Amino acid sequence: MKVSFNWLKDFVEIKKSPEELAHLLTMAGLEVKGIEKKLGDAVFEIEITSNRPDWLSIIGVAREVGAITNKKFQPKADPPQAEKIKNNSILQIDVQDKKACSLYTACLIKDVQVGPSPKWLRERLEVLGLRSINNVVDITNYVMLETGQPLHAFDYDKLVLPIIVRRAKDSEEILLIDGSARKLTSEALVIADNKKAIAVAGVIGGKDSEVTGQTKNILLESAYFDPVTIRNIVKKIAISTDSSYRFERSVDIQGVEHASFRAVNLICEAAVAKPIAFVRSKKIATPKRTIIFDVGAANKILGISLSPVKVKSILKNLGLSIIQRNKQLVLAVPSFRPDLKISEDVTEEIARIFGYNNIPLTYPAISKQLFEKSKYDFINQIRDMLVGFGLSEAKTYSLISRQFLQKSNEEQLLDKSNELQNPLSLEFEVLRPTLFASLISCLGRNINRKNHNLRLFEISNIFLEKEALSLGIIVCGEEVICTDKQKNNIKNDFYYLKGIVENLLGKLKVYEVNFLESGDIIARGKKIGIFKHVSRQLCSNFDIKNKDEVFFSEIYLEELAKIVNCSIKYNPFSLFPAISRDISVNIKEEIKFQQIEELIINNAGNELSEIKLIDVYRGKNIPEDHKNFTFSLTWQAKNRTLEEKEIEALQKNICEKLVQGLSAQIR
Amino acid sequence: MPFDIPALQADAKEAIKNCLTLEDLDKIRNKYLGRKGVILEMTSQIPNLPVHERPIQGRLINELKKEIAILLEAKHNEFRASISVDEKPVFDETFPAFKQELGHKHPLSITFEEICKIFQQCGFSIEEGPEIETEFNNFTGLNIPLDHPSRDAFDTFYLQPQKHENNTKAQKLLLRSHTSPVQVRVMKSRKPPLAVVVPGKVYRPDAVDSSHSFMFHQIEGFLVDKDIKFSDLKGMIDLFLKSYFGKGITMRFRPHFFPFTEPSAEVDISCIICGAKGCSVCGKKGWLEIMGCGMIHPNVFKQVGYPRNKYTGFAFGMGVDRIAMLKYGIDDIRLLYENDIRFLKQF
Repeated sequence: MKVSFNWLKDFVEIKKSPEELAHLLTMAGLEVKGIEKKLGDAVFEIEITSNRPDWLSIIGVAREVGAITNKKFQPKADPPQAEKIKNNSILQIDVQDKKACSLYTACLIKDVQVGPSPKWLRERLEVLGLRSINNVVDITNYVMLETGQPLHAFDYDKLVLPIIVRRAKDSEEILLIDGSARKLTSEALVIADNKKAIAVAGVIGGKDSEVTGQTKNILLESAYFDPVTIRNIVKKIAISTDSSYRFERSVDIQGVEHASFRAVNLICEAAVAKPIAFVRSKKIATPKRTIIFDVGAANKILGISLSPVKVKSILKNLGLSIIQRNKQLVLAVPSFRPDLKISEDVTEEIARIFGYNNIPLTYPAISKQLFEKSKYDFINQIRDMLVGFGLSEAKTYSLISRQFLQKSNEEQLLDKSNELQNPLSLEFEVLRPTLFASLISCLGRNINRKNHNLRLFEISNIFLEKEALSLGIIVCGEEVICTDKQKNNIKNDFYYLKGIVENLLGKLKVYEVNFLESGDIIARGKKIGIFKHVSRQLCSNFDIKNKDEVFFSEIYLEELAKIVNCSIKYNPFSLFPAISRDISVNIKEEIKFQQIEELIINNAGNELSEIKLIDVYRGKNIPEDHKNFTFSLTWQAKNRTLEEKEIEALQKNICEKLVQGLSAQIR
Repeated sequence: MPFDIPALQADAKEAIKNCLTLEDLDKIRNKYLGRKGVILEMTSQIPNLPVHERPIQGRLINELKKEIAILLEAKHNEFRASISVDEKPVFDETFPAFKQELGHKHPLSITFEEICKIFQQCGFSIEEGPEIETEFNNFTGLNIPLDHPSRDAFDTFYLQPQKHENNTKAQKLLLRSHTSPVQVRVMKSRKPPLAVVVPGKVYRPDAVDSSHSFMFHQIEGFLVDKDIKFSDLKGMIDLFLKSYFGKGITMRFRPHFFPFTEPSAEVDISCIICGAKGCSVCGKKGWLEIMGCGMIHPNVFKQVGYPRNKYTGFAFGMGVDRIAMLKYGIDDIRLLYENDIRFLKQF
């Protein structure tokens, strides 16, 4: 909101420069975002917080300036006409919904000469960036800016009394002054005459009764409308105005009449008119609001020690009056401070006028609490391990499109997925039920930007019937490490991915891990995740131009957390000598590794301590459709030295079984 | 019959002289000085000699033993010396190393960890809450009325009613617009003293641009006990800001408004880019807005069932994306979510 420095001076003495004042206002809670020098004035752009509707006016800000600089705030008195125009039967008003409108006033002004505004008025408005329209409209705007009370002027001759404040009828139509039309519902509050709705209460007037150059007589409305009612109307008809903005936040009910008199006074001067009649609706008893305030308690919670004298002075400057004195103060809350409800609200006032930066720094005594390992620690542990293995962490959006799930062949998950009612766009409509879609597109972006050697992971929640923590890993490409006499191509292929998963689980002391043909990963008998090769088809669905294969795995961390048992127990190792033997075997291509390994283990006796694959060979000297595996086997007994002939017998046994069971050839 | 010591001596000398490798030298040592070696063999024969011969032969054997040992040692040293002179260099120290590419934590994770660590060291525990929240926890419980303009600042994404186990007609579900709901959860689940920090993802329907994202990250913190003061809040925040941004920064508190705190404040630090002189990052003001905080509003205590005036506490919240961007000089928030490896590699 824009505020004029010169206009403030009408209400409070200011000895400071605009820059100095702006700083003081900012440090008291009215944040001045910028100062513009214009037409011999300085215009502050102030951010008004939603709890201070009284700052939506020059007098509100001026009152604040007075409180901060310890100068007297000088409000304008009601113009003398106030007493002269009395209620008579010319004007009749009927407020049918008293909850929505607790005070309605109207003033009849006759013989108005609508025309251009006087210079002082045009300049005041121009400084704040408002266009001058005509003297009547300009004055209603002027008074609204000055007092915070929105006013509306009707062309009296276009109305058929009485004025009724009621709910709109269903489907009641109205043509508004901005040229648009609205079909209203009974939720809307309207100002109506005997025939029809003439304005949407508190928001915008109707075109038919608009003040024009031909208007001769004016009905000036000044009222108090219930904030929630106005807010609902604004949302419904999708129109927001300076008036509705103020009503939504609550105007000062005690200032409604003053604003009317002020405007009437100015209109009569500027437009050479005569005020004839004034009417107000029956007063609704608004209970006086009081707050019991304890200075000692306030000092205590702030950590300062202001004297009661100083505190009372601050409160007075803010417009609160003290109506009783004991150990505690009873404060009368002025009508323009709807935000002051409890003593803590007053404590804040004391603190900010005293100055937040004058409050000292102390340090709280923080009670001890037992530290337990938390989800946060678990996640950090996993993150550290994966980064240690050489992977990089991604963070992607939790929201994806339906299309994504279709493109990644996971449409069946849509049934269980959560969608937004009000998404920003279709691209971000569904809460992801898996990390795959996000990671494959992240990978794709990287590949298409010619980034290679990709090893990415993400730890985030996925959303199905429950929200659950998940780890996604996606890899593609290879790394070439070249040093003297050694060159390694580390492919980011399935075996690499499998290694990452097994190493991660190994670090968590989970050793029994199985990768099944179905794509499931089983650990300690439980399914803890999945893995998949991302087919070329799928990659092209996502427009990924990859030359290497892509592999993905998702580990359900909630499931993993259940089976992790990090208690380590030392297992004494044998001091007796070990014996190692190699077995090299040609085997048919289609036989899976696990079959061969299991067969060897099952026939190697009880003292086999290690079996390691040390070579894989295909090519010359190996029959077609065969592969050659070389295993290094190690035997070691816990409590004796093994004999050569024992081992030879076992080795012989293994070889026989390989030949018999898998048609292998021993080399 | 005495042994032919001179002959043995000559043989040993010759053998050692002609020895070419350390291995062979070891063999010679073993032959003469080993368990089954010549010297011990001779020594064991001494009892078979006539009594008057024994001391003489014993002495001669001992002398031979010593001499052989000295010759062996000398030859050994010869080997050692020659190795360091003749050996070719085994490696080139300037050659690229054998190393795998490093992995990298996401800058948001690094920021989270650093901030949480500071509070953990002060005695705060870390808790998390769900991203899908109830209207009560996100608004009502935090004293944010559903029908007041203050609600507008917390525009939210609502979920379609279905699927989630808690999403029923009676209870609308949404994506939390701040991490403050966890205050409500924790305070409802246990009694003070409470010192908790909450990192997490939050969502707001803001159009995405270089400084806004519909999904971003916050850290919430709160301390609830008896007699917690506003000055304590200032002290705690000051300690955090100096620990994270460096001792040289200054801080200022500005009054502000949050429905869930009273008094409320926004906290600025002297601009870390220009040192409070004024630059484009701080909008020429010299101050950067870093976080919001305040004393927990009594209505929030009421909602979680704490008796009036029994406890006081403070709460604070900060946008982690923004802080990471300030600390690392990242100029576009979208970089944090695109995850280009050239970006991730820098952290």
